[in-house]
Amino acid sequence: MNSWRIPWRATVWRPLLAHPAEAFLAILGVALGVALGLAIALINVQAVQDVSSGLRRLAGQADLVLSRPGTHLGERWYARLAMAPGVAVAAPQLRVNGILPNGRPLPVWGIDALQSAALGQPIVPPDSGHPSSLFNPLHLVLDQSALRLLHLRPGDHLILRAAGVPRRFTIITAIPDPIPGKPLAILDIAAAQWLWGENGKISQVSLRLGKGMTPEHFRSRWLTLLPPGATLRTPRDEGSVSARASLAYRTNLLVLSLVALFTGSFLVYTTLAFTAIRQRRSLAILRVLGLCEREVFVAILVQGLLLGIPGALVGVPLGILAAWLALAKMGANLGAGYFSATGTDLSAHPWLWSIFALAGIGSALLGTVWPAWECRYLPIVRLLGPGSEEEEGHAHVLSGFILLALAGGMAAMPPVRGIAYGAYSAIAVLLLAVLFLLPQGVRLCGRVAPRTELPLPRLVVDQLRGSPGRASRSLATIVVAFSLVVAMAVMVGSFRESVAGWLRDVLRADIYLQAGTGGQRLFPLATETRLCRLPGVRRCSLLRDSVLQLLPHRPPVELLARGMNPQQPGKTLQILRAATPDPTGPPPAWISEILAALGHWKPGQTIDLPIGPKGHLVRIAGIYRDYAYQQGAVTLPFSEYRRWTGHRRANGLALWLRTGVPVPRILEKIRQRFPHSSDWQIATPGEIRQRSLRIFDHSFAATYALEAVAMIIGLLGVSNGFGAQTLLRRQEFALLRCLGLRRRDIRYLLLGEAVLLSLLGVLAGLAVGLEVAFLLIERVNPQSFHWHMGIHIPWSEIFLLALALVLASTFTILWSARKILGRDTEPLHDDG
Amino acid sequence: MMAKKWQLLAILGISAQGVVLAAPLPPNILPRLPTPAATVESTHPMRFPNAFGSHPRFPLEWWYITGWLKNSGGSPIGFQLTFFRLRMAEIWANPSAFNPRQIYFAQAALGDPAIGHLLTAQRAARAGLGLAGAKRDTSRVWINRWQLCQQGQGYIASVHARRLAYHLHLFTIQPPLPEGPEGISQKGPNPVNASYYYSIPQLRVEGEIRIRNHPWQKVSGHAWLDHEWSSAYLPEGAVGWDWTGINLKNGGALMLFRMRGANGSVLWQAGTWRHASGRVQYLPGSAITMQPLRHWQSPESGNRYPVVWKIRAGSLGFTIRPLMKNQEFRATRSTGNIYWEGAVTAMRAGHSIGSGYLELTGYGERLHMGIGGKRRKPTHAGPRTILAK
Repeated sequence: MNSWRIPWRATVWRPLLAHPAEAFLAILGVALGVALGLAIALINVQAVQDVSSGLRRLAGQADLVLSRPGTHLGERWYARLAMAPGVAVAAPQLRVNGILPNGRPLPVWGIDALQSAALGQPIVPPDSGHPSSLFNPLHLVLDQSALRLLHLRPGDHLILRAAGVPRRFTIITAIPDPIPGKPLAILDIAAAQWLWGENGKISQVSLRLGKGMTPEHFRSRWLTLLPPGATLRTPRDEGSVSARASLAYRTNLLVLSLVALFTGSFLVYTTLAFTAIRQRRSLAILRVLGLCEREVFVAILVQGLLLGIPGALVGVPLGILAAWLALAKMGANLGAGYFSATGTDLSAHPWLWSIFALAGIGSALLGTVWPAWECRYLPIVRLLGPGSEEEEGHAHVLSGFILLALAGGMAAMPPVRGIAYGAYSAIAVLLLAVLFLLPQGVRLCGRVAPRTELPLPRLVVDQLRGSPGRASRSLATIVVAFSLVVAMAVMVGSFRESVAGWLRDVLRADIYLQAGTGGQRLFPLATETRLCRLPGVRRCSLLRDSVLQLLPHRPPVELLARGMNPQQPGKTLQILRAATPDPTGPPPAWISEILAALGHWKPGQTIDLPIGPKGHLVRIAGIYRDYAYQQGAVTLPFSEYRRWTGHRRANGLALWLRTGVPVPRILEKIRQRFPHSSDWQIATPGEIRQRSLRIFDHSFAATYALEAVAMIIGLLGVSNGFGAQTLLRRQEFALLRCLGLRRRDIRYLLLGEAVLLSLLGVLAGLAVGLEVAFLLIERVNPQSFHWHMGIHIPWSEIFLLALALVLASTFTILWSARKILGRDTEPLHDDG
Repeated sequence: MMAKKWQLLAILGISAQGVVLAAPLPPNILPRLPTPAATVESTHPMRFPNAFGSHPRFPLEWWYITGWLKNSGGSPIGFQLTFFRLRMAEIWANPSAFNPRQIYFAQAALGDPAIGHLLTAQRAARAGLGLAGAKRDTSRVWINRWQLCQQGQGYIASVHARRLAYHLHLFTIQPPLPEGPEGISQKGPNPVNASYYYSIPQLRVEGEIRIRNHPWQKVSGHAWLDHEWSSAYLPEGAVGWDWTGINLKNGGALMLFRMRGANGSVLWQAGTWRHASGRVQYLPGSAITMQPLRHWQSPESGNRYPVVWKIRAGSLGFTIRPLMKNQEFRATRSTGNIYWEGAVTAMRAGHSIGSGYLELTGYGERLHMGIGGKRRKPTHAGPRTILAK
């Protein structure tokens, strides 16, 4: 390295050490970016890892698992597969829900311990090597999570309601959590069938294949023979299905987390740009003494490294800590509901750590490149001359416009494997373009600013007009940060408004009832007729929801059978596109926007629904808006569903009341006439709306954290920028004092500049942010999640954010300039 | 047409739904089924062909085949196949096909001196859905695709596992041998401890076996079948037993067993000797001495088994030596017991006078298997039953 002949102390150390606070803030910014990105990446990896390793562990040594999502299988399928050639061991399971005394459901798995033990599944009590004690139908095994949840110990009793009947179980032993963090009860499969009234039913069969049989071969032989909707998957498939389902969500979160890193590189840019300016003379002298351009470039890059490396080193542990805290507090789903079964144990991922450490260093280098490049290319004479910080930037404007065009092109790119890489790159390029266009923008503002003869305002405007480059350097970080904040706010606001509007549109009944929280719970027959006969009730409608394995390699979709008028689907659903009615075709079904995109289906098309014993053809009569089911949904009239499956009972009911009938009166009557109604969940549309929006807000928790960190980094940038700037302007202030301005006047001058620049930064950020929001709403969301939304700009929220930012930024500017103001007299020199 | 089909389906669907709804939930106190207390009584002697079938009124029953095989190269290989049937002590009146009324276990082994230890495989299943069970009218017992099945003049034994597999025809040459007067084998001083027990010695075996991943090979040899059922097998104070069954070269057959107490004392011993002439001699304990000559300690379990014996049974004196020392069967995946079950040769004056199997149980801990929940105090007719023969 010494062959570079770079005087390290003069070119690298001293400029940084001269302003340790600035260097510290830049390092902090990088660290925050690294920490946030790493935390989100770690949580994502953990979530997927937990889900798939849990599935693999659960399966034991099973090669394949037969199941039929949303419904049970006949037990004869177990008998058939167990006796099939090529099968060594087959272990059946019946999964049901027990209701705890507090009304909450507890998953209960009925197992054949002999077969599960042969498969090595971690659901068999290890008790004295023999599972026979589980043969007693009132013996129950709980996992550690359930024991903790219920404050019980082996030997205790637990009253659990099975199919509505309370049963007193004895907890014979405990097992480690088969799925980390998921409370679970295990009993004998015969007992599960008996006590839950599910005789003849099983939920799944795990298979271990014998010699010479591969999962692929076995699957190809059996798949066509299985009932519709049944799947035969390897444990690895199960993991990858869940991973694929959440891929878009995880990638988007990860890309957004990089935003903070990106803001960090703007902070490094601001810091080093000013360091470079202050350093120009010494650099020029070194150039005269024989340092070549390349060496100057490298020296400045090394400054960037010196900010990036400690930033990365601090950021990585900080990120691990943040991930750990978030997992402990929120669980790995970050409130978005993609991962239902995850633990809080964070495992070590040295690879991820190093990737984010490198990304942090890289972001710092990215912020260094431009200042370094500028120093390298400026002619020595100009570098030596006084007042040399301001340079013309027409070339920059051109680059800015080229980048803008590039962003436009990228935005038009189609998604790659469900991820909107194009749109994301467009956002990054757009923000880079800001860097190039900002000086010209500031200059333009200076030019159009009204001329005034009042000395202080005039000084403020002249300052802006005279050194737009300096101003824009200070502003770069805050513009980027605010544009991202605006983009998120607009995107989340639009989404929220669309969801709220959709909820208003969809929830048209007056009272909604659910048979229970456990998905398998149903209303007794004829409940709806009895409810409908209550005085004051005008109409009532049924809902039965279950799941359906419709798309291969995807999680099951939601099947909603509801009491609806097939002629007027718009009364129940928010129809986006409808097919022309075809009375001669197959019966109608409506699919959600997401399902249409996932399955590439269009209105009028005929699809095969795996319902009932044979499956049924339906015609897609329309596509409707649905924000509730991320994996897609199908809606059918209840009458068809009943005809096809024979299921007559519903798990949801909606009631419409006669005009003028108060809701509480009906609720009171329901309570009186239906003794079981204490198990039901009864809600008004308002309550459902409230709850849904609360869940919605939870799911954007990660986004809010991101916004906050971006804002903080932006403010750090402002602080560094203005801190450096006021130092550079020491002689200017000294001159102004000599000219008779009081210290108070200088303070006013700075205040004016601060407000003006903050306003400018916020306005620029707003403009860019709206564009980014547009990209997020129109490109990223439809491409990644297949949902569309209207654009609703939450002006009041943005106004408040802008106000907060202007205040914070003004305060930051004044705070960073306090050093200058604190000194009473500054000697007036002829040079800086 | 389509509409009519739907209507039909609707009717079917609703009626099917009706059936499902009609399936009543059990009452608060779960009802049980009676468990008959069948015992071994001299007033009910064992009778054929009833003896061939399964006897589900007894809590414990097994079919046991052991034998010597030779492959085309002439190397000896021992084989064992056991099916156990256990009736649960408590049976609930659960209509579920999974209701665990009877549990079946199967243990299979091949003893190849070239490998040096047993290759074993185990299965366990509850009766139901046709996946495991036993016929009442003939010797036919199975777990999935493992089976022992009486067919024509003999039996078929099939086992398929990862490490071993065999498919053997066993031809009956001699009539069944009741292992006690009236087919009742006394197991201890208390008359309650007894079983119905017959053997079929001198079975001729033809078939094929697979050892690990090697190709199937044709084998032939001879075997011994035991079928025994009881409600109180192990006498009080006994921890296990030593048993041997030898196909004598002259066509005779000899079965000996003794029940051991915890301190190694012999609580009971008895035997049956069918001479080559066909004459059956029931040997009282006084006519038998079984003296261990050499022990082998299992490196896996630590159990110490007497594997070489000096034996006198009536007028017959000989030494039994194992085909190999390590023939320990660790059945932790089915009945939970660890025992020694191996091919042995009967030697007299340096010459083999016959070959068969030796079984040594209870050398680690008392043979037991609690069925029906909590360990209760041992009762003779109670749920505490004995496994591994």
